[in-house]
Amino acid sequence: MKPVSPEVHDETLINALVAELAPVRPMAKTALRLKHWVVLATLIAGGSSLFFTRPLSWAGKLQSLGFWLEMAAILALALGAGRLAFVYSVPQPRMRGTWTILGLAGVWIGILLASSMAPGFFGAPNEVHSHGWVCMASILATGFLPGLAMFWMLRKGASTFPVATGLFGAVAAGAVGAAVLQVYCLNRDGGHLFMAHFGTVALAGLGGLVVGKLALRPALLTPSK
Amino acid sequence: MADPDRKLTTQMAQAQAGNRAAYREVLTASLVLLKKYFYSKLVRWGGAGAETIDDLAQETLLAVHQARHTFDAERIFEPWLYAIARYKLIDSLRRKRPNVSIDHKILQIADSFSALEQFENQQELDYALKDLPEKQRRLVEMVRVENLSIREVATRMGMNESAVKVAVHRAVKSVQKRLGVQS
Repeated sequence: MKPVSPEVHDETLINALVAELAPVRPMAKTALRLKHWVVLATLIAGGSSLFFTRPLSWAGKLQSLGFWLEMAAILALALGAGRLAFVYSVPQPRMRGTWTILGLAGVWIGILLASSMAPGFFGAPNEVHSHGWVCMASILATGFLPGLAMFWMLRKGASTFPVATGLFGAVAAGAVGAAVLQVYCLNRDGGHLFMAHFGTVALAGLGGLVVGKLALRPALLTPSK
Repeated sequence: MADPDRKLTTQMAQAQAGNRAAYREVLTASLVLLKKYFYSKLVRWGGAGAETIDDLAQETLLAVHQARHTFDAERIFEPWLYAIARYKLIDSLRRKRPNVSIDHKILQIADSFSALEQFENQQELDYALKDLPEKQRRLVEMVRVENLSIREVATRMGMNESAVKVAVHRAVKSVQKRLGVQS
């Protein structure tokens, strides 16, 4: 379709669009798209974790309430942010639900704060003071492919809030990476978890803002005159 | 007989299946809605001319065409259409950098007014308007009751257009706050 020009009359444009009409398959519902992504992300993240060089570290985690609470918060964040990304990948009149995501992130931070006040909250004491950057790299590496899958699915829509859609999509993918690393990370220190785990998911979200602007914004923008 | 509120929704669903007659009706009706929408957001507040309205309405129709697969037939058509229209409007305002702050003010006023116009308790609304300072009340009356454009109000009151926009925006926000209405 050529760009609209002032010479194009309404009737001419409507005729052209009608002539160009071909049946389209309506986009699947948000819940179904989210389900597909969750299955895909679980397979990808689970598969890529097999390449981790460090062994599984369950030491004391299974008996730790803190571990399960944190895992639940991360998974809720992944699901909530993923759902919102799919909601906003199609035209929406206004943004709703941002506070829910901020609330879930707040719950995660709250659990981490609680851990710093109650030593042993996360189960076994630190086995190793692993470097934060190793966890950061692992989370980003594990979340990369689920993130790619997420943006591939989001690009099929046409977002009217592309930057926010990118942010939520990237947070969801980052949270998947953080959830996988929960099991592998040897360092159970609250400060480390906040900086290297939560911080990385936040960083992924910032990256998502940029990707959203670059990759999702053009969907509804026709060539300008 | 089909529910008139759902008529466009049904026709858009038929258009997704390839029904050209239904699609033509959707596009024709959408064009009318879009021009009204852009008028209410721009022209009424002195933000643009009729040619901009036509361009925006046509560009939005193109976007509707490109994004028609994202329409969910279980929802109502109009909010989906206006979501795209608003996106196109904001994009258009961003492209016109020099006027961007004033244009955003126009959008804010238009949104605030839309929210007030949907307020059901007319008597309560009138009381809230009466409580405004004299000058603000007069400005709002000119825009709301006499349906004057911002430019006309500015000329009558001997103010510049930006000052009128700011004053009207503040007045409407104050009324909204009093009534507990959100834009």
